[in-house]
Amino acid sequence: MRRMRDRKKKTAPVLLLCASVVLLLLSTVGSTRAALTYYSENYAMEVTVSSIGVTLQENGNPVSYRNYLKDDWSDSGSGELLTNLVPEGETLLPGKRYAESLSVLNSGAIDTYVRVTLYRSWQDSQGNKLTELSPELIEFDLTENSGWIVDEKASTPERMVLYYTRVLPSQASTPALSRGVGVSNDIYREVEEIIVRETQEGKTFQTKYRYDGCWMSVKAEVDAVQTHNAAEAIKSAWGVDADVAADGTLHLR
Amino acid sequence: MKKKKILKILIPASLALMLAAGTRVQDALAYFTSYTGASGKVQVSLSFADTEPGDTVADWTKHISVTNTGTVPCFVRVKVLVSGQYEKYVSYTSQREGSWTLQDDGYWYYDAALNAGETADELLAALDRVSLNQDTENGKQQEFNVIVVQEHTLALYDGEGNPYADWTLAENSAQPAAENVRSVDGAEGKEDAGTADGAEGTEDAGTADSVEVTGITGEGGQ
Repeated sequence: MRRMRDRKKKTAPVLLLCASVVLLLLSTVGSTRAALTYYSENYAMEVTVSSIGVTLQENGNPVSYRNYLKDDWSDSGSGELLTNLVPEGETLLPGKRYAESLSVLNSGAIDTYVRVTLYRSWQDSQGNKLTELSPELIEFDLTENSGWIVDEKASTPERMVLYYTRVLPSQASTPALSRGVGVSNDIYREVEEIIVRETQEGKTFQTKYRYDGCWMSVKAEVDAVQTHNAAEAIKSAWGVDADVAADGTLHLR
Repeated sequence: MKKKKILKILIPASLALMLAAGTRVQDALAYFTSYTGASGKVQVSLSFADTEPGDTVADWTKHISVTNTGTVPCFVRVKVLVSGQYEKYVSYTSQREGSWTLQDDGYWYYDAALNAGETADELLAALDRVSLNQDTENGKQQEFNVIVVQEHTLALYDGEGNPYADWTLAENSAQPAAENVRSVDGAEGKEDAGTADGAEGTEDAGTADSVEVTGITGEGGQ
């Protein structure tokens, strides 16, 4: 009897372990089954074509992209903006708006939601950021009723975060989020004095525009995320709480 | 002994749970995302405007003109000051019809932006000598001044690139610009307004947008 009891004592944990392994296997199989069911259609597409991809366009021309192709990323690296903003031989005129139409192309094989973060700042000739100068004097003309909305909570004078609220189908482009960019005429109101000569008789001052010789710097970052499980995906990828309506429209909370 | 029993049950169960949880975490990370970016910059070059008044007197008429001697386009305006009693004897016309317009503030505004090196069409201030002779005593020589105050402001641009004048800009920038032509006594910080029109002042690019007062005398009489 005692032996029987000891044997029972020894087999109990083994049985429990076996039961857990069976449960684990069942749960894994279940989840795999669920995943396969869930991703089956898209998975077939991903194998044959590509997965997610996004391209930033300036005035209709691609300037940078990152696409997942054949199990690898195809990446243009950081693109260049404003290359043809001012016609050759001319200088940038404050007040004037220059064509700067920014849009996003879904260069992947799956539908996505996209957002663009615009940065603006002033730099010196060495590329150092001049934080004492006002980024608000660099002005973007944003489009209206184009499906883009500004996340005011996430925006600062230096940064604007814009969400495209509709599903962006594969190989489709968003409407432009901006029409133009320019520098406010208010930069003429910012003057400073510097001493150009100092003698026994006194000092000679020179008035200088504070923004003279500075560089207007602009940066655009594009993020794309899948539309399946959009709310969770957006929360996970972008850290933003959003609701997705039945028609696919995105609403920020 | 009891503790050992509990441990024997708990350890495999925990392992199973951890493995199961691990598979879920992997699922949660499997969102498709992508990103890309681009940047660019353009240098801003700002210059002060500069102008030079010019006038000649011929046939009892003052030919008032302004030349843009700076490197950027600007707008100009002039105020013609005549002693009160003689004001009625002076009449104004433009070399090009409609080029100068008198506003309520007493300034004559030129209708177009002056590009660098360009000279405005003349504003003509003519003295009505006949009337003046009638109203003054015969044979008595009289002298009076016609003073022209000339100002300019940078040409600003609207969104479409059309130039326009914002005279408040000239007024706002007048103060620091005026200060910049001063000579400050190093010891006492005393300003010497007398140097405003001197050589030192002219070296300062900042004077370009200051209110520039130019006295130009005219002469009239019997």
